[in-house]
Amino acid sequence: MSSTETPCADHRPDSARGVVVPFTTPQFIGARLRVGRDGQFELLLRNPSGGKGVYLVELRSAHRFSSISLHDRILLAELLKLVRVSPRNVRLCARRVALWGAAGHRAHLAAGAALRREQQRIAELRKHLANHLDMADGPSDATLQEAVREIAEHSAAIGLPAAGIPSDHAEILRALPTLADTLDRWRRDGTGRVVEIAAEVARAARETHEAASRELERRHEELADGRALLARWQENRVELLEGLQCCDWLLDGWADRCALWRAAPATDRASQRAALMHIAKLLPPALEIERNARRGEDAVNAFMRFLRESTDWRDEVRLAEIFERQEALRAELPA
Amino acid sequence: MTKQDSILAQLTRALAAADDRKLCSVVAVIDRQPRHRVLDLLIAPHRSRLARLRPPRPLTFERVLTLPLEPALVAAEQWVPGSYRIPRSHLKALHDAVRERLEDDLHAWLEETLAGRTTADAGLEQVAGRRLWPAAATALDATLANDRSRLGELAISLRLASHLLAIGETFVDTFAHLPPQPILSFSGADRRAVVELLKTAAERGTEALALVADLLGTRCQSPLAVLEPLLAGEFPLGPRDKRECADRVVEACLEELGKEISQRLAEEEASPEGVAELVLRVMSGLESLSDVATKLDTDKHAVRRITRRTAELAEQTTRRVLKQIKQSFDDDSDTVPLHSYERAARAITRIRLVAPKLMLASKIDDLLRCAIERYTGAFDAFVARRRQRGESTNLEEPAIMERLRIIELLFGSPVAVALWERHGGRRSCM
Repeated sequence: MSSTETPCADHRPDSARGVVVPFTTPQFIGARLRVGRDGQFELLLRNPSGGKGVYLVELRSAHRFSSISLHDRILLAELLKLVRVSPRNVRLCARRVALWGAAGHRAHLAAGAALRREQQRIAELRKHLANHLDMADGPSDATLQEAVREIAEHSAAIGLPAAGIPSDHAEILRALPTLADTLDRWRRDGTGRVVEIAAEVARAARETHEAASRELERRHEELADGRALLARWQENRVELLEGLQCCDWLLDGWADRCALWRAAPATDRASQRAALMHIAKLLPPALEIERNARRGEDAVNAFMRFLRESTDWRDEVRLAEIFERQEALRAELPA
Repeated sequence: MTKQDSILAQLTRALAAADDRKLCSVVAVIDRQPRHRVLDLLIAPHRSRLARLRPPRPLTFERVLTLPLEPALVAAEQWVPGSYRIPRSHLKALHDAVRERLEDDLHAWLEETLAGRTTADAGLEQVAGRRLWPAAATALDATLANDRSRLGELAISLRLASHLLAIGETFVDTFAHLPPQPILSFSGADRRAVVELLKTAAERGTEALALVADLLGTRCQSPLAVLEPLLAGEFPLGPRDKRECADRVVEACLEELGKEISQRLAEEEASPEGVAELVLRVMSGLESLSDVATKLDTDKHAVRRITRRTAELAEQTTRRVLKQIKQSFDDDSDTVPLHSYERAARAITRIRLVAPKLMLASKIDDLLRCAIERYTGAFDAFVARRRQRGESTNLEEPAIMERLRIIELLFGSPVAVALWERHGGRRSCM
């Protein structure tokens, strides 16, 4: 997946650093899926002890971590079926698994609601596009119908507020400046590494907001003009559909980060510190991945060692709590 | 019922159903009105929700004065004289008592500083409090010295409030920076801050120390977590006073825990989530107690009795839940509340984690080990019955997946994953 193959390549710096995967196993928090040097899917895992560096594990052998949850085992199997890595594809996989109930009852209900919401938006977008093509009951030609369906499906998260179709991306974008401002206010009263993390997250939130707002505005303008969109689809379908996913790339993981920060009570600094450490794990790792990465067996052994070291019952209760929180988060986020 | 009562009841119902945003808007409207008892009553039932939401509220003399007292406040009907708590019904008299003796200059400065400001103005409460709280403590001490005989029960609240106000700055600052509830134990900077707070309280005497220790205890999974910093700190009190204070914390806590455990044991259908929470609380408390046992005259029989009863409760609940869930596995109807069993299974997971501390590990392990076969057998049978009826046996069917999830929560992910694979779950990762 070259970073030059789409018109919005500048906004896709994460293709090398992967897409956030919403795993529930505590040791997998912040794991990212990417295409490795050999063209195979691999998982980029954070150092389980919280230290620097990452571990790279082939996706097809990630199930060897014995503590992996049923949800994650099924999600791994679904991810292996993907043809290409994108935030949208990973999101759809995760929603499918949540719909089966593998992340618990609440996540199952939330995934159902998200699916219905998305279907409604796709239907509205199809209608909007059909109207713009002057076809009262939708395009009659099979190719046109296919175009309208594909464009609508890839634009569900983009929405079209001007036509009364809500946008998931716009909702996340609205939360970003608030997150950045709150973090800036928060870090004034603190010291240490966590303050640096707060500054880093705030800066990333602002940059993302700026880039994604521009991108979303551009996509909304495109969607408003059905004819031009159709012409572009006929000219280069792949390029158009990839372009429609630019905001997905830019906003990847931000819904989780905002939800984590929101969940920490505003008056409880310790909770907020814990949330920030968690959010830090969700930020893409530094660019020199290959230099700091360890592969294969090393990763499995490091994770096993980490588990063996957590023998105190209170540590185990904490791990159980992280597992529950991850599942609860699955239920809160737009799938 | 008067017309006003009826309107109030309607509004109370509407507010209870209102979402967070709506509730905050109503509070903002109420805050714009002159103080009114009826309007305050409307907000009262939503106090805990508002504490979580923290909408910006106007900064007033009363709000700043009450800030250090917050952790000690209880509803009037929950107040027990002699406890380290202040009933909300005493607040007005307390505010009046302070206002009456406050110097005019300070009053004017407060009015000017707080005018038009809200709780969103970070740090302003503390700035105002730094001047108001010590003065308020002095005012209350004077009231107590002069009018104690006519104050009745109010005197207790004024005395407790005076302690908290005198150490207001340290108290508010420490409480604001404490780790999220429930705290298992104090460590690092938090422990240092707690020791400092207890030391400041001890300068006011034994009662202030006991009061602060008690309030810190409410932030912990067990009040016994306060013992370690309490006994470790160098306070301006004799060792006997300090130990007396610690003994009081232990005694009250053990008594309370004993009562709670007996109550749960007597319930035939005690909620597994509630039991798991209690078991964790008891064990974390007893662990804190064992850290300082040599420094205290702890009633060892009481501790052993509580441990034994907790183990009994944990075992009884585990047996009951395992039996109930197994029955639900044998029931094919759609009415089985599997999601509530999911919560119960989660509770058993928690109990299992504490089992070694209860000397119950092998018993719970045996119970679960024996149950695995029954459960996996019941799962196989459930899938087979679906197949016979011509229903889907796809593992992604919610009815099947929910059972797998329960197996995962009860017996661990490897058992559930193995079962999933045995029933044809994706083998592509192998």
